[in-house]
Amino acid sequence: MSRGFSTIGVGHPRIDAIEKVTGKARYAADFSLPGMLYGKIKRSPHAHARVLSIDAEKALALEGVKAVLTPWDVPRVLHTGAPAPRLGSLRADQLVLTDVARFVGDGVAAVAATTEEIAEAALDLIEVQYEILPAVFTVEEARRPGAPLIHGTEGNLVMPPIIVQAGDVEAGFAEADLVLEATYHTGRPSHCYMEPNACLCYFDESGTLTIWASTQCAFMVRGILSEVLGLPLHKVRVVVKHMGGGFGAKQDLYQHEFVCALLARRTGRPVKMVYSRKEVFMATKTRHPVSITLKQGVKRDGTITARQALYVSNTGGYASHGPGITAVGTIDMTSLYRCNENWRLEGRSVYTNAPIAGAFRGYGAVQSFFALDVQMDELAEMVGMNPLDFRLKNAVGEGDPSPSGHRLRADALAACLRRGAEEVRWHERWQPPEVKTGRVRWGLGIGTEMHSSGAYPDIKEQSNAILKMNEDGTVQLLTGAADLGTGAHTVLAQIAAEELGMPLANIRVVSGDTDMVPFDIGAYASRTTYVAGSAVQRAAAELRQRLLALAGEKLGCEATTLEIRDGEIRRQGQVLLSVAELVRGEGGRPAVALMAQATYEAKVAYSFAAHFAEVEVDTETGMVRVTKVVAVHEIGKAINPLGVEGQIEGGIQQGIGHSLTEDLVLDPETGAPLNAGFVDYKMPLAPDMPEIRVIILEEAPDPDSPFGAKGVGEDPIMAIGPAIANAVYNATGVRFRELPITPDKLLARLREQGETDTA
Amino acid sequence: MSVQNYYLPESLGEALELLARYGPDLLVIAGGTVAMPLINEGVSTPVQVMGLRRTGLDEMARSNGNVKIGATTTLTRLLEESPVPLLRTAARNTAAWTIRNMGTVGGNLFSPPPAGDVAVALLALDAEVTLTGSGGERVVPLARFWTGFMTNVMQADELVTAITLPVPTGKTAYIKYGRKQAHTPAVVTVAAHLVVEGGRVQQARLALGAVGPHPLRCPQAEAVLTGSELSEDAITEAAQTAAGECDPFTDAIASEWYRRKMVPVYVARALRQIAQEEAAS
Ligand SMILES: Cc1cc2nc3c(=O)[nH]c(=O)nc-3n(C[C@H](O)[C@H](O)[C@H](O)COP(=O)(O)OP(=O)(O)OC[C@H]3O[C@@H](n4cnc5c(N)ncnc54)[C@H](O)[C@@H]3O)c2cc1C
Repeated sequence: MSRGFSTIGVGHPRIDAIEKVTGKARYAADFSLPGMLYGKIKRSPHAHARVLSIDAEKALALEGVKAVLTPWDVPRVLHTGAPAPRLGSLRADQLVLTDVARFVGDGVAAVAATTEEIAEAALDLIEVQYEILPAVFTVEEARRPGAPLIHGTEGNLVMPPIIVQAGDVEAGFAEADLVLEATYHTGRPSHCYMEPNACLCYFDESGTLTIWASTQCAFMVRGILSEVLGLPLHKVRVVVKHMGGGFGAKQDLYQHEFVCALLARRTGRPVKMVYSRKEVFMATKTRHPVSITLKQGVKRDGTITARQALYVSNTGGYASHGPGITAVGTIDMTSLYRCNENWRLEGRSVYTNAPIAGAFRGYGAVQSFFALDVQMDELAEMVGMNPLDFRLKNAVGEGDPSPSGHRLRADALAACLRRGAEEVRWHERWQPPEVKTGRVRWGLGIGTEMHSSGAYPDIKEQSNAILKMNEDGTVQLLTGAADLGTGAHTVLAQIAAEELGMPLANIRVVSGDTDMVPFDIGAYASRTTYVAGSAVQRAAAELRQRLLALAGEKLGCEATTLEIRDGEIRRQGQVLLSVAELVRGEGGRPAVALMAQATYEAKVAYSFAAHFAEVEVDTETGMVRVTKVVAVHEIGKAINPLGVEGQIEGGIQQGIGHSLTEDLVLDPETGAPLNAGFVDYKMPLAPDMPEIRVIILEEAPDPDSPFGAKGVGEDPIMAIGPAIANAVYNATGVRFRELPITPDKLLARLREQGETDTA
Repeated sequence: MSVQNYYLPESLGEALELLARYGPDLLVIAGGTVAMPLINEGVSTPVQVMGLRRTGLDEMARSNGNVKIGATTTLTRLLEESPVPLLRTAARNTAAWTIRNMGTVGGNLFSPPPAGDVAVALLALDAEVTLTGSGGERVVPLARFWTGFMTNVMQADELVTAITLPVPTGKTAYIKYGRKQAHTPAVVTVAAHLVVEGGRVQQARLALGAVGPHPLRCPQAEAVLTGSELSEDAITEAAQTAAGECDPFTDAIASEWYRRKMVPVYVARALRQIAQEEAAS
């Protein structure tokens, strides 16, 4: 692609930035309707309990209370919490209101009242009789013989184990000079999006339900509401205005969306529900805590000969994305580093009575790559190689298999490693832990990752776009793709502008109303630029062709000799006519309607990254401070480099939190979260942030994507965790096979290692 | 939501009358930053609530070598206007601006650990608490104010009206150690106030927060320091002694084990700060 770009490849502030920073942008909870009621959910205080009876008499007697729903008043349709992807492996195991609570906070009843305060007071008046059942919170407890069965499945397994194998693992281990087997554990971070889950529901005169929601997957919400409420799809309208984050958790539906619609139906009035921060923490989603037992063989020359792993995820009270993340986490261990194509990988997902774990930026692979990349460091040391050289030797590249089964097209991972090593002056500055002394010790570590743009082949990826030309030369871009705060809509507008040859300001993105925009499967799997962007590019290309054909007719020349740039029709650089002049109506006749639509069903591309983290560890306290991160990402083409940097910096910040301070801690007796609020669930803030140097590589543009672009949304959070853990090892010689690395644990490990207390 | 009446008395007298009328059924709030979250969560279910913000108890004055801080002085004002540097530092280490704009010095005495970051500093400065009730005023040393976790010597008809402390002579140090750089609950908070003359410690005050049921003084560690030359040995011994005087707990931020380990580390760091300042002066 030799022609110079005008709109893409240049940093653009988000098209919705002004609305948002001036506080004018409206989110789901900002909408209200006359006569609106407020809904609230009564939640189980027990992690596992059967609801014997519910007495709502006192609540209904309270002035202002309009309806109470119990599990016996709502459709008893088992449904999946995770409407997308619609895979066979999903389990329909949730009810709108449950008569068996499976985690602390499971909703057992609901109320609608004229004010939020009355609704809350009514919750206290609903009397629930429970039979308390034995509860389990860890995989070990849940797998023990005689453990309570949470959904009646054998051994509390969510689905049959996923087994992925190739080559001959035993032969591979036999060939190895050294074999290492170890178990790695990851924590339970919460998504912590700013906008709490919220919705407003209302049925109009025609019996059509409109729901203003905060969701990444409006069409999936429509589908599952239609299924559970028994409404045809054309009588459900989902509207999403702005979103204040989701990070994967808003791929799922929650009880409030169903309950709110049912309360609206029962009362004949609009009903709004907004989760409190505590509800968001206890009753939405977390990342899956995963344990990975990983065994690899290596030859003295640094060749990895075989890989075997058992990946076990704790999905909590309901399956949600347990099957999906387990499949991805398991399959992703076939790649990133070569192992002579000898692997045997098994994935299991286990029900417990912990809070539900769901989709979360990095989707199962965060956990795998943490294990893999920490073990890469361990193996390098075993064979006496520098950790950088050992990675370069084994990094997957052109011709190697990827998790989707496709062969990779370029040596992108090695390129990221080399560029980062140069930036941090690796060979000059890296030294083994043995030489580190002093109270505060400096360390340098590497983490790497690869991530697919889109979820093909597991999901039939599909996006659509419609472009409508207006008679003044401006354009409406209709897309079903959500912008959950990532800047996706800015990128889609840029793609349309570039392809059309129009200024960015002439494009307006219309989205988030399932009655108006064409189908899109949703925003997940770093797919929006890659898949929805392709649909936009194709629709724009078609619209451009129509414009040129019209211009050719008008100017009496071959359309192929014309081009559009900056909103003007040109021939050999000479401006002949503006697009606005071309499309406006004439002589009292309305303009010709120009519209283009495209459907795109994507395959897959892979982005890669290497992060180099520098840390300082205070050996007296076990406190880790990340001081600098060099993040090298190969993403094909940065449509909006400003947005790409934002994604990378944000991912690093979130990843630092998950590595050091963030963990939803459960009371081991009751299973209730001990820190369901920002007072003691601690995310890193500005003063905790390191210097970040983002380096974008465009070495391996994808031939099927818009201008070669690949995804970047999830990538940054995947490489930072192992980079920090490896840097902590490099500083102290303490090997962490678990996250988060708290000062508590690090200090204890330093003491075990023989560092003495000082004061 | 159980609150039926919210009173905003315009004077201390009016507030005391309401208190006498309702007794323990009336929940007092100042900034509300501790009390309101509990009410909103349904943990605390008061029927009557009285706010102190209009009672005029927010005077901060200096006279006769003492500083008197009205109970409802906000943490922001303490940060910006306190004549005592240690208190400004303590306020800066407490919560964030939004909370400091509401939260009060009086309220900090009632905040459950690990909160109480201003109270720790007050404790190291020999502050006294003025309690005013229907029977008049009495003054209690802050060191004797608390009797246990969330319990104290205040009677049902009393309010904290002021906190008074002598303007410190000597040197002070304050370190709040949390899991992050800012806006974080403490693993441990240390406040130290030493008067050193002729190379020897004449008077030592050492207070700890987040490692007991309420902010604690460390009399044995203070005794180790008193009369010493504040040598590295004395500092180490005092730090170890302090570790034996605390009574830490486990929460989502840190374990009991870890908190106890951090007491000597941060006591020593605080004392070394003072020793270095002494050496430099
Ligand atoms: C997000 C957040 C972060 C925080 N961070 C910190 C922190 O870092 N460090 C820290 O120390 N604290 C912290 N706090 C706790 C709190 O904000 C402060 O301790 C503050 O000083 C409390 O003062 P207040 O006036 O708001 O208390 P209130 O909530 O008004 O009072 C709490 C209780 O104290 C009693 N009370 C208050 N004043 C009087 C009085 N004059 N007489 C009699 N009784 C009285 C009442 O029983 C009242 O119910 C934090 C709180 C929040 C919400």
